Amino acid sequence: MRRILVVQTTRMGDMLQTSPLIRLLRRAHPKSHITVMIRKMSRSVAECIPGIDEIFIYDEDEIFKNLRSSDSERLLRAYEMVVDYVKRIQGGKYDVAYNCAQSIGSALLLKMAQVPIVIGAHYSADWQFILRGRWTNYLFTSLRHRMYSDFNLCDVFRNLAYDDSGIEQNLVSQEIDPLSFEIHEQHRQEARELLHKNGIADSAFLVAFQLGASEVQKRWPVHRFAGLARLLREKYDPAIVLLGVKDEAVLGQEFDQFYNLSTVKLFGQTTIPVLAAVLERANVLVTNDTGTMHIAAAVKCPTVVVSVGTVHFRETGPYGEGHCAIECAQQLKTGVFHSSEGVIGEEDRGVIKPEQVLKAVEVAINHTGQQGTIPDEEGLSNVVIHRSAFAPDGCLEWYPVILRPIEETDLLRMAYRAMWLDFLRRREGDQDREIQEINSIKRMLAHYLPAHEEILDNVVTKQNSAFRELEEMAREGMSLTEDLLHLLQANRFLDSQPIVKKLSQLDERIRLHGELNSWVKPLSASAAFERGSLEGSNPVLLAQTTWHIYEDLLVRAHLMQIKLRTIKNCIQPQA
Amino acid sequence: MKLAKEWLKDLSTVSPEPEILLERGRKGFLTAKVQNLYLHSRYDPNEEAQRLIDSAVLDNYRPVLVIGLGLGYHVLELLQRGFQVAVVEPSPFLAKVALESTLKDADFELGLGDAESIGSSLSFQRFVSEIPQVFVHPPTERLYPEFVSGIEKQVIANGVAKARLSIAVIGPMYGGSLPIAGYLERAFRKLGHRTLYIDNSVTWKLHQALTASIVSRRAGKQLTDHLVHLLGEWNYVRIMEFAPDICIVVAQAPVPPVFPARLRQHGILSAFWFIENWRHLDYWQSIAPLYDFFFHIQPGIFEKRLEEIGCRNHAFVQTACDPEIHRPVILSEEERNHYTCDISFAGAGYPNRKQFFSGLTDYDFKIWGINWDTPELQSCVQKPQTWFDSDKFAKIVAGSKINLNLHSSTTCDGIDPEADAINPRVFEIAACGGFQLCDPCKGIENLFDSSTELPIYHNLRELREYIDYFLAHPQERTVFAERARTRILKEHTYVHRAQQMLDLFMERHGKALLKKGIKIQRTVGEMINRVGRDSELAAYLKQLPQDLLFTYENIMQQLRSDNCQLSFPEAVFTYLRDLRTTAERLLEEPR
Repeated sequence: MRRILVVQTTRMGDMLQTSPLIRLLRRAHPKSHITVMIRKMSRSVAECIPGIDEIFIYDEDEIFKNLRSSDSERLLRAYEMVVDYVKRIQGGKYDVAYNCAQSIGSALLLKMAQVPIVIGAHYSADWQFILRGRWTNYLFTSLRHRMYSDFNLCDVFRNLAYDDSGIEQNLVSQEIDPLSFEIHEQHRQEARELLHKNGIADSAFLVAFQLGASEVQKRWPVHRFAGLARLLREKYDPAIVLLGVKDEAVLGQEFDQFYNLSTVKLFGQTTIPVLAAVLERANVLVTNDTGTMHIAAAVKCPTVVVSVGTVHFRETGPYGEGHCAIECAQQLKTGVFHSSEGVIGEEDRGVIKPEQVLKAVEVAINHTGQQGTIPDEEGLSNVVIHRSAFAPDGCLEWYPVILRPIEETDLLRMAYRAMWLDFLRRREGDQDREIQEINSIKRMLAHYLPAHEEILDNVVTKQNSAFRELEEMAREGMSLTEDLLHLLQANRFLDSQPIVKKLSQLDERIRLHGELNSWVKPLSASAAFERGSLEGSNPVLLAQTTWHIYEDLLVRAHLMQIKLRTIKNCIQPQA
Repeated sequence: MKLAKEWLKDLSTVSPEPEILLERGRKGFLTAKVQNLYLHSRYDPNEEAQRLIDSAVLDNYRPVLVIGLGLGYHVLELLQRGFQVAVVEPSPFLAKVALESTLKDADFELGLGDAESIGSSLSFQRFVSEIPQVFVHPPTERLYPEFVSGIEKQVIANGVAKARLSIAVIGPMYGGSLPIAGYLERAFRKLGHRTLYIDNSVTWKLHQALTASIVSRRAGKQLTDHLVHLLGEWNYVRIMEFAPDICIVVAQAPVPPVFPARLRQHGILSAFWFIENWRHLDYWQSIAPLYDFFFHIQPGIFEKRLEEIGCRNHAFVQTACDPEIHRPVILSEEERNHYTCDISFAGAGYPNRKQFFSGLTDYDFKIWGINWDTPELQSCVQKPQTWFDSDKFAKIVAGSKINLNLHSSTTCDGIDPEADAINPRVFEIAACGGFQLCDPCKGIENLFDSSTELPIYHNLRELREYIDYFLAHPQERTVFAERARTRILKEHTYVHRAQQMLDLFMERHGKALLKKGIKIQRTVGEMINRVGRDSELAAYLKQLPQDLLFTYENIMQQLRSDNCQLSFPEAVFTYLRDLRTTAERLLEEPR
């Protein structure tokens, strides 16, 4: 019996986002024993995810408090707590661990526990922090290319299985593994009673709002929610329920200042399972990027996420079919996705108007599995609305709802998606994959008005040319590294210095190339990150890894050219 | 104190105490009534015990000393919750009843008798050396308050007073008390405590630059006030991050009057060391009552004045010397040319000194320091006129055959008949091995024998006679200096002062420290014994400096920066470092 440990010691929402992976692991090994190692806050979610045999609670808070106490006994206690965790992991006799937390800490823990196979961040034999696995590497480097990053975290976690030799590769792409969350009848009953107690009949049109978020930067302003409530009232006369934790009740009070009709406030009044039951009952949830959003997606409540500030809905949005994301078009263009510098003010976060979100709500409510688009109109000119669905390639995709001409950014994102899937799932002669790729591209293209000739030409000439140059530089890097390896293997360390210098200069050229050609930057930045993250003291090993980095860069750059051509051919079929 | 079971035989012959009445409650539980006070609930003493222990909010991992056994329900509750428990009780009869009923076969240590005899037992001292949490059985406290306070004193004396504390010292920006603040912190560190010295002198240049660039004195004062306010906040944040048990503010340190109250909210005890002449500077009036302790250098009338303004916790703590700083030095040839003289004085040019020393200009006399502006003394004043550090001071002393000391005064010429603030120079010259002639100052006769260690002059004529005599008798100078130095090192170093301060704190505030709880500070060497010498952790700790305090910061500093082949303990500490760093970063992120 295969014993699997899934480490997910981040947030509650991340635990839910790991449920597709757990479902996949259960499919791959029906008789395996699956343990999840999680934080206390994720327990109530983990208990509702089918397929989990054991929950291992990891209490970091207690260790942290002991570390901050400036007390020798408590420092010793913190030490002993860690030793206990290591022993517990060792006692689990796991065959494989999936490190979805991807942190140095979790990698260290697994290393100390000597788990034989680790998928994800790990420590090497010589105690260097390494990112084991292609999709793990993608996850770490994806911060460098968020502009064109198109994969939901759920898909990334799922695809970690590609790096597990104990899983048949076909299984991953064979079937979609949605979010899993089981609601017991008792919780449904509790939810019903709670809603009844607050005057909401079973037949009422129920709209749920999640006003809060983990950070101010991710919040659509409360007064905008209130504006939306007024519009919904005119159209649907809904019962409105405000969700959130106890501390967010103050947002409910703020809401009342702008919306003078009664709402049902459930801040801190539900357990996670009962919250899920409420969401299952709701007709729609309008939310910021939060754990509530993931729960709603898991119970198939139509969800509209208002993506503001530092939110990147493609990565962290609701995983499932028929959900909507609305975002400011300007944000999309400038790629302001991950700024921790400065606070994004309420005015900027409030650019998206209630009437625009209402449009997204209507799309989410009326979705019946049909992929439709709506015509562009002046009132929507500054926003983009997307609807989620699983693409033929098996990963979640966001399809534009507002019919507009396709732009360079869109083409590049499609190309990057196809490239990464090809690169990371690479299997020779996989015709199914090629068919899936074409179908995915065509389906996406169907949501756009035809591209302008100029854009298509740009794709072929300017962009492809830049990728070609990058490919050449990568080839040069491989050649230099081969020369370096020969010298190092012959112990001619002094003679290797000029080559090391040339490699540094090449890296600088690659970096600059990315700065001058922004569509190439994701690849150049990823390569720079990988080069900068090299660890270890063995020069030969370092050189070998370097060679692979340039090889990967070459392959990716080459693939980008192919994908761009494929996309162009899909738009303009060859005679 | 011994195991409870071992007491049973001794207690078998104990007779009932007439004032203790045993009763059965409504549910059949045994309780006792003493002087109309029930020791336990008549209804459900077990439930009462649970509530009592819940409300005490005890740390599961720390031992508990229970004062007051009663019939043992609360002790049983503690034992069932897994606590390591020791109990002290004044009544042998109650102990007998408890051990024969509620606590039959229970495993804990028990001390019986009066507080002093319990306190003198080795097993009690060993138990309290771990700084246990103290749980006082409320009825026992009401019935036997002297026993309870006696035990608490024993815990303080044998536990808290011997524990390593965390102590912060806040120094001024500038002035005579600046080096003293540093000496004090070093002294606490030498005593084995974990210390923080907040050096505000780093901002002195900023202060000078600000004020020098402004013409308007009013504006300059406002800027100074702003700077002092900023420094006050800086000092506060640093104290909060260090989280000391005690914070000592040295005279002129830039902290606002509200400072001690802010610290008190976090359970931090505060003290102010007023190293000033209370007659010259009167800001003590507004701050002395605010601190948990007010230390000063002038006994007598000043103490009455302090009482009058409501300052109850005050104590006379003199300045001293730091033997590692104030020590005899050997001058090089070049230095000898520079420093050698018959008599010297090192210090600031107060009016009384300027007037008095003008009667010595016919000697080979060197004056060091600042504010010496009288024409008569210019032949003696060493230029340029600057402050001198302790190294230079030691050389001045080494170069002088005779070192003069004259206490400063702004109210009279020459010798101040009211002088009662013994200056640091008395101690520092002696520690540097110098021969000293000093003016009278209240209390100095208790420090030195004037006939064999430190001659005291009362007027100029007498001083000149002493100078002539001792210049002619170099061997006597040497003997006097040696004796004075021996005395100083034995009784008047900053380590002595630091310990004195701690003893005073324990006496007045030991209970507060006990209640708040002291962090346990062990050295690496002590931790090796603690974890077992054969353990993997001990093997790692043996590689580290043994007298290093086993704290997070110290251990992290010792971790290797490369990660090659980490041992298991190194891996665990690396993990702990990552955990704390990540968590603190998340806490700092804007929400």
